[in-house]
Amino acid sequence: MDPASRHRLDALASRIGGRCEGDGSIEVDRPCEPADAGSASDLPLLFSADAVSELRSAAPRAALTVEGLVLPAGRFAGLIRVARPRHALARLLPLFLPVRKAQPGVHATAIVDPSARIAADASIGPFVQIGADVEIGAGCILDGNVTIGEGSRLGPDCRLHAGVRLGPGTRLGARVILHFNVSLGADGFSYATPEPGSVETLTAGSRVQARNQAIERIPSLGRVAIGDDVEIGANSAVDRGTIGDTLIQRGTKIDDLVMIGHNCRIGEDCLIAGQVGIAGSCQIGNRVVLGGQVGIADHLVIGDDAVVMAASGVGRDVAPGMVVGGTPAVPRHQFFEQLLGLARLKRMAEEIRGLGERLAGLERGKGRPED
Amino acid sequence: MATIEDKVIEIIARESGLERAQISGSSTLKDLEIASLDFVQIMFAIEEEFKIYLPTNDPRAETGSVASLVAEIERQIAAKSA
Repeated sequence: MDPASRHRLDALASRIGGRCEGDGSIEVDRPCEPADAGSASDLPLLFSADAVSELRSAAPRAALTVEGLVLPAGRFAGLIRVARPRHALARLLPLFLPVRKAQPGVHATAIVDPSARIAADASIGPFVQIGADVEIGAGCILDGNVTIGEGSRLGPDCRLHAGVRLGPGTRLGARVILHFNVSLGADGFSYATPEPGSVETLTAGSRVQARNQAIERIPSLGRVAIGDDVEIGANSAVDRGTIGDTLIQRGTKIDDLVMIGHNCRIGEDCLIAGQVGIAGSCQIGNRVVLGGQVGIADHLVIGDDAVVMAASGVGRDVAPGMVVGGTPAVPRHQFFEQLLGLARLKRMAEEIRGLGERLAGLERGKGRPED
Repeated sequence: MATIEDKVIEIIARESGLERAQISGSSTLKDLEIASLDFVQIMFAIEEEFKIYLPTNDPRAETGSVASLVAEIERQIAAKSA
């Protein structure tokens, strides 16, 4: 075990914003699931009563747990207690990351245009292609099979995993992380027809009024610009702008298999979960959260701090601070009313039939001549 | 015979996967950290059990306690038999 990842309990507690109980001098070298804990230096994560019941070994001397959780008395010689377990993990796990020793320099199989400027301590992996007039900042690590289009600029300490493709002119800020096969700067889905097409001529009714003929492509002259500390998951794609740039601003985190259309502007510190699709020219505010599989139609404005529930289809603007859900997405309480309404339909239909029968009976009775 | 509160607690436990002992009259669905879709399912199961319709336009519903839910059910049952 790398001695760099052995930590005293009291030192760990202070680094992750927790509280140390018992023997702070215990050294731990591996945070783990309770069922996996088996050595005296393991640090099982006990965030619920269920987790405690999964402990199998008596060997671990210390544990990481949550404030208020009752543990068997005397079971651990030392504890770290935290108020927000997931946040504690965000602080804890980096301390145990295996130290990656990237070799500075350019691999012999990389193809680098002579006009590219690469910082001396950057690491360029095998089979990387770097175009003309590219700038790669200090401390950047590019794994194998990465393509950097001409004129791109990478800020310091960016990490590009294998298979990332950057189109010409892409801008990355500092510390941007791009996972396997991220594609930034493909052409936008942008076409036009000489005459008004089927969608433009939609009027009342359900029949198309025009045919799409001679679809012409609109080229994309814009670029993709990514702010500092943005992270984009594997196989996600961000298309380049038509004339201006497609922007993703500082601190936003994007999951795997996300599609962001041309000319979109995504604000700061957003969280965008897997399989989200955002059509072209949307403006997404700051700190917006999009649940998995959310779809957003083109040219919409999603206000700051809005939350869109998973698998929702957004067809109109969302005001700042709103929580919306469903397809088409509506405010959360209205979405729940819709769900409850749907669930009630069976009983309501039965009740209406019962009422109808009673009414028919009453009317028959009324129509009969009195004795 | 099970009281209305017993039945409500049983429904919440069944739909949310919580233990019955974790739920009391003073618990709110918010305190119990019940997921939003479980909340809808709990409301529906209560409606089916007691043959009533709970008010759905009340934004306090999710933050209200089990006891206030029981009071609403009792009010509606009393109104029906009146």
